[in-house]
Amino acid sequence: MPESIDHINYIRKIAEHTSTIIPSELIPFILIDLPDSSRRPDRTIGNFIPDLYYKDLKYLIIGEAKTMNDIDRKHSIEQYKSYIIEASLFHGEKHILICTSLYSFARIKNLIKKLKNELNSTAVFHLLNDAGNISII
Amino acid sequence: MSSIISMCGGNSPEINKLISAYRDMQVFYSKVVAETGDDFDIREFSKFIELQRSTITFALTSKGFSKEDFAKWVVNDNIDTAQNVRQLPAVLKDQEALKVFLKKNISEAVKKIAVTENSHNELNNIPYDILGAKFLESLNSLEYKEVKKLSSDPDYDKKKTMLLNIFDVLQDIIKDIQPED
Repeated sequence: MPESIDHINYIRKIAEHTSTIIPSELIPFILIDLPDSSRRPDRTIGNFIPDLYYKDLKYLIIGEAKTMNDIDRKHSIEQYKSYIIEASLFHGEKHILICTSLYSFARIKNLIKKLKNELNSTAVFHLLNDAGNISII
Repeated sequence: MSSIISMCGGNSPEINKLISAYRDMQVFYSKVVAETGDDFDIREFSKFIELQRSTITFALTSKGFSKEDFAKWVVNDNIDTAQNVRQLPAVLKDQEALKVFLKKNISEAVKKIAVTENSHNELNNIPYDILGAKFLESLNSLEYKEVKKLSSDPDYDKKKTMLLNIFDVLQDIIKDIQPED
């Protein structure tokens, strides 16, 4: 499926941020949906394939890039819920990374806070935006 | 005002409406988000623009609600879409719809009103694609003079709101069937 430049840039930001979570020697094992990537995610979570995925015995990392028109559509909310449920089944460190625009940053923060409470999630959310802001929830 | 219009375009009533929406957001919405710990979401601005309609503010005050209540509804997602804000007077008037609105959101409440209005209507059982085809045929057969006459129709507001709502919903559906990121 063709992706927008914004979407690709958001995935790159998620990939960059992933290197602050796991040791550098594990970086080559990250599955990532970028045009220049040779290792793309193929695992379906719910009905969705994330833009970035990494899992070993210690870490589960799920990354999703969202453009501003897509951030709170029904489809996207189902996607966040599926990732939260997937994380709840993992016993190690679970991190969910979402990158969007600065314009949509407050919207995603409010939405994720509500979903986290609603689903009683212990996953760590790393919310990023295209202006370089990071919010950990 | 004239310098704003010369730089940004638009007209005075429209710009005043935007200024009032901004003021309401600063006064009421920012207070509520400060209390709840939510982030100030500039994307909610469109809901506050809709709030500036006199029919909306009148419906709020006549039912004992305030703009602060409106801001709380925005933060709590009771007002989940801007397009349905214009249905607020009808929702506040209907006890059943009001309950659904306060418990869930205005999109669900509006469905409640639609069901109530059409509960004895045989159109309920006709699939949307057949209704849509018929509606399209009916619109295509409208003559220009009939369209022009709409503005003097006693039900002008109701009909206009209905057409705008159809337009909004179609836009959403089209958005949802586009390829996704």
